[in-house]
Amino acid sequence: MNMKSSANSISEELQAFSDLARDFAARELVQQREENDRYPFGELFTQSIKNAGVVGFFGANLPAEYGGVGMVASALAPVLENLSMADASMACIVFTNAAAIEIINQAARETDCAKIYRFIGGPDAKPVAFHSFTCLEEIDMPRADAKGIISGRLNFIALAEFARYAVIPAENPDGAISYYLVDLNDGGVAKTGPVYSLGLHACPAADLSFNKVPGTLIGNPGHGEIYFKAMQSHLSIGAAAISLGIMKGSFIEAFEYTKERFQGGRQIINWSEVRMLLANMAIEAQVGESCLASACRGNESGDNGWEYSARAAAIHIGELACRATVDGVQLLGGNGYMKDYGQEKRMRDAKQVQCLLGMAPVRKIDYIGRIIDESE
Amino acid sequence: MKKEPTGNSLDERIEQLKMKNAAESLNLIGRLLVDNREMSVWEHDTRTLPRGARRWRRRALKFAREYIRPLAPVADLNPHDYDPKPLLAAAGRKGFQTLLYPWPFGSASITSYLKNFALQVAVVGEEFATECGGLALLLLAHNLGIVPLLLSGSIRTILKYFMPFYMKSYILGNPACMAFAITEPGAGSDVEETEGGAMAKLVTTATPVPAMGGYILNGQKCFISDGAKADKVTVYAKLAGDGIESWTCFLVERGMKGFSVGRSERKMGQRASDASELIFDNVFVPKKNVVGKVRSGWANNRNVLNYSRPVVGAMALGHGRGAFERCLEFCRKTHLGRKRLIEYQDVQIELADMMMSLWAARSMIWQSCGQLRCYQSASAAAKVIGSDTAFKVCTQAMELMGDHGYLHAHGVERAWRDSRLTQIYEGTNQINRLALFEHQMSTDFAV
Repeated sequence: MNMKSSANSISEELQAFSDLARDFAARELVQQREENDRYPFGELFTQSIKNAGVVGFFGANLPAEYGGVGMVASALAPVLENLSMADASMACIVFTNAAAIEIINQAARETDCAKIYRFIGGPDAKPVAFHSFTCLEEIDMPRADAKGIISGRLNFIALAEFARYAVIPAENPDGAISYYLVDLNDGGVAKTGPVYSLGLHACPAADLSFNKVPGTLIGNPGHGEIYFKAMQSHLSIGAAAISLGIMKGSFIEAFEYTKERFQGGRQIINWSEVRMLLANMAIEAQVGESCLASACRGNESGDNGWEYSARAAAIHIGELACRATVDGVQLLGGNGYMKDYGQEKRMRDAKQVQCLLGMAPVRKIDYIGRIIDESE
Repeated sequence: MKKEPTGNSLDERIEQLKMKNAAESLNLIGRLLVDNREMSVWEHDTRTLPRGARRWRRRALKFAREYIRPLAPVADLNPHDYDPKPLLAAAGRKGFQTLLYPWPFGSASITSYLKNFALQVAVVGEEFATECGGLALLLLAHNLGIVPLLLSGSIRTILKYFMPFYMKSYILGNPACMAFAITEPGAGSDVEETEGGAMAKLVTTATPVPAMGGYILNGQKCFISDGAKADKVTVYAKLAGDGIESWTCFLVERGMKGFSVGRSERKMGQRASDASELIFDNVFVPKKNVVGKVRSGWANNRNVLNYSRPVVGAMALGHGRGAFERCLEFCRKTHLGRKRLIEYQDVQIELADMMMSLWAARSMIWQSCGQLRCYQSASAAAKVIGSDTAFKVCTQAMELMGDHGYLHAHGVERAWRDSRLTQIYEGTNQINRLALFEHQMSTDFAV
């Protein structure tokens, strides 16, 4: 089975970008994974983040006229998958930025967003901060007045610690939700230090306070929910790709370890229970790959109802990854629990990735809600 | 004509239908036969325990909240920067470190001890682990180091080591602990399972030196809980030129020439307790430090595991309960839309499921160690059920809390990380399943 990445099964045209991500991961992430995961008790891998921008990962879905590559969500999948096979933190940085840009892309279908694109684009652009671990239902959001002046608090915003700009939701006086681009260097913005969480330590999040901070409205006022839902469908493919990458990384490490490790006088891969656990992992990865490929095909061709495939893939592959990475730890025994190997990190990361774009139960309720609405 | 129910409002009718109120309609004998006391599950369970274990459970709950809870987040984040001595001293002074023997050698309650040897340690383990897995392991791994001395069956050993330890820890309140060393770099599960044991590639070797009246120990042990802190370690080594059947237990004391602590592992969870490498470089161990009979180490080790596994199950249960309690508190306080989380039906079902799972696991664990002698299959079952349940409950708690579940500040992700280790140490859960099968092979699984 192909445990490298599912790029081939998606489209041959993407091979170059996929290879780029694989080379980048091998060069920048694999060796330093344990060290990078120490953040905030160690250094943030700032240079690698910069290099990810140089190779174009932060412009993947930014329109070409503003310096991006202008890819659709499915094209981003092999990049995220390859990165997360090595270190899901970098994949989530790319993902967060892509989610923020996708909000603007959705708004650009209704209004002119050239000014906003110019803020965040350019050769030296940093990734944009976004609430990538929560959906709108879960957020206590700040308020924005009619002039777009924002006050209040927003918790757990990924990349807020080092990003220049953030795409944030705020509640308007009429109760509707709009998205705004906010300059995080504004004097009215206060940030906490990195919020320490279960996984993805090198994709830090911070809590933000806004005190009369001017925001630039993105798209039409009150259309925040529409943009978020559309972005959620597109980026569900990215979330699924990250989970799949973690799962494959876990399988590869477990497979190699069980061939080398001896127990009871023989390689542990020759114990039937070990083979069963490996088989489960391999099957889960294969199922995940098929789900993702189907969602990507739908997204590329704009099939009717592709959003359902994408959302289901994100939820299902997220669950598969959680299960597979637990087995990935078990197959390495005590070593799997130690930070010298990547397995415990993958298990933590897989769990936290399940929260991308909102907690899984809320996304499930939303999923059935859409079906019920359509049936009525 | 249909008769309308009495009562003014739906709320009042619901109140009347609640079992506590409805039972008032029963006659006296009926009322005596039903139990509608409003009491927490913890209180219900505690009352089923023998008097001594009951007392220790209440004390452990108080100790855990007072001493372990405030230290837990810091000890987890900075395991090398906090000082464990005050906690070890406080636990010793309150008798938690000498629970494996009654007076005059220890602090265990004699009546409970004579019926169920490991139960008192198990109930304490659950309470400690509810607050922090790492600190619970710091305090309880010490018992693992002690059990080999007990199982040696040597009065001399018990008198020699237990009385001084009792004095030092319980009477004087000095921090002290012991460790248990079986795992080797090339033999993890092998030393916990019969077939693996026969094929194990062991490196730690004891060479008899009759002229010096003892043994020279060479080799290495790894992943030893409390290894870096222990004053004494019970170490298992094969005799030179022999296999695991020659395993002998030696008491190695800190300061012995050639005995050193190597690296401390960087663990995912239970971080407040060290897992260290122990190095033996021509360590001379006098004959008097042989624990039990020469070549009795394998039997001693396997039976230590029979006593420790239900306690590990209880500690795991504590991790699950800790996650459950913190999640419950979150659901009480947090609103989703107009209602608090706890008022949603699906949340209530999930919380109830978590409590049921924990309750069932506790029943298994208490049954396993609720007898004088712990035996292999019941101990293995208690460990597996406890640890699998804990990991499942921690996962449920995290999912209920959404992104809050992943934040260190809430303590649920810490319990999730902690609980995962209980599925691995003391024999992986796969090895424990094999242990159960092995023990019941000639009866339940007979061909």
